[in-house]
Amino acid sequence: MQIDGRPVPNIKGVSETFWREARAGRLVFQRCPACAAPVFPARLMCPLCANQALQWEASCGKGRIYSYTVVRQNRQPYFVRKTPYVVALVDVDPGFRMMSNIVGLEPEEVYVGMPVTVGFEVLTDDIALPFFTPEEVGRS
Amino acid sequence: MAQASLRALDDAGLSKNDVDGLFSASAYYSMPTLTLGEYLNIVPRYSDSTMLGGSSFVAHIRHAKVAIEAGLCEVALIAYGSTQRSDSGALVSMGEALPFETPFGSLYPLSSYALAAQRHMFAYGTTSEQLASVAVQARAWALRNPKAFNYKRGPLAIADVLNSPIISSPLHRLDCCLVTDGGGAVIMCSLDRARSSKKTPISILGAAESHTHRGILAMPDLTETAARFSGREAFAKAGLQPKDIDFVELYDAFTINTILFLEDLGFCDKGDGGPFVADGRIGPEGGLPVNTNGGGLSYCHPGMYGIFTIIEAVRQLRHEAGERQLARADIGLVHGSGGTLSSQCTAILARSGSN
Repeated sequence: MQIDGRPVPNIKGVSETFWREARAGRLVFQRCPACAAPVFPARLMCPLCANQALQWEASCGKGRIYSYTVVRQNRQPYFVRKTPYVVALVDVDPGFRMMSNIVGLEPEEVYVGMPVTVGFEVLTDDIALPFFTPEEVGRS
Repeated sequence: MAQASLRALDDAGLSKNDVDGLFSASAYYSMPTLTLGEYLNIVPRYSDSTMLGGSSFVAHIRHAKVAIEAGLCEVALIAYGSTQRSDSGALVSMGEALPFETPFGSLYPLSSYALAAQRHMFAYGTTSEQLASVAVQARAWALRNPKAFNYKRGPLAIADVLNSPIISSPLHRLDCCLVTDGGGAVIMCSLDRARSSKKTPISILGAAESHTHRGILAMPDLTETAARFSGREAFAKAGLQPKDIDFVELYDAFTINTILFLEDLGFCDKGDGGPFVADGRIGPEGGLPVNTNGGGLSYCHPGMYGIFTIIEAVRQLRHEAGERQLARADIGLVHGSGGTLSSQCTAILARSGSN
């Protein structure tokens, strides 16, 4: 599915809680009650110990950039307007990794290890997508 | 696929009626061995459409070896073909949307490799110049291969790569593989049967496969691939070490691949891949020839490149490689990668009797 040319996820299924909470401005993940591992994206079972009673938990939304790339060419109509933009893997507290965009700064200012804070861009009544900003910007 | 299949059969001195095992993977056909069987009018006893991405074909030769040894088929045809350049000019992929990656505009698969390259630079100080040197040396090989897409394009300089547009940083356009049409096929049978064929038989001394993730989001460490596992097992099966290998044919979809795989396969230490490839070590004048056909960067890349690693290794081992023929080519390593550094398949090939 697309909204204004942007590909958007199917918000039904095992990740429904994630997307509902995201729309309310909260970043959530699952934690395994048996081995305490954070689990993301959502699953029916813990990938480490196979426990099936994963529980949802809120993240503080802070993390650090594990790696990033500045996309300068993308033919898709939505993204062609956005170039250059930053795609990053963010290691979010307390220990799960997400892909997202880094916004609120020039692409040249992004670096591996940069502290960032989550925000949400509301696309529809049901869908909001997470993004991250430098932690300083996130506080203002 | 059909064209390559018939040429490979002719090369082996066999006809399509001899084939009773089919192996294929495709970005076009959801059931590729069914399509291949229908097109060639082959009704197989053994059929394997294992899909691991571009590495599939290196897995296929391992699967075919086991199937032949178990008596499940006698003559295996492994085939691939694509007309993606003519069709669209861009990579044709059946890859599904990844709900936690696609919405953020990550170019598939390019940005995943860019993320790995950026992390490798951060962790080990790898430079854009070192990445570029991989493309420069691939081009140097392609200038010796009349069938290479870039055969007549002249040599490449580091500056040419660095001055080409950045697509997804730190990767420039010339850090990325070609988009071409192409096809390839490999015939396998028992050594006994191969001895009566018109060409020198090539043996598989060891082979292995593994994978660590589907999407780059789930890759545990972006600087370490499952080539560590497939390489270790293939070497153990063959009873060999990296120093025993005369040349390497690996899947260089992007320049970072060559660095990662040479590290993970044990040709240099983790993190040393950048300095290792610099200064021409993997080029025509270097100590470890890598991608002697020009690779995906400069020979061809019709969507999935894996089968071409095998074909070039066989040509080198048979001393059929013309101007680019290596003086010493008794044992070669082929390595395929699929998805986004996800699946890794390794095989060690040799002229029969050389080990």
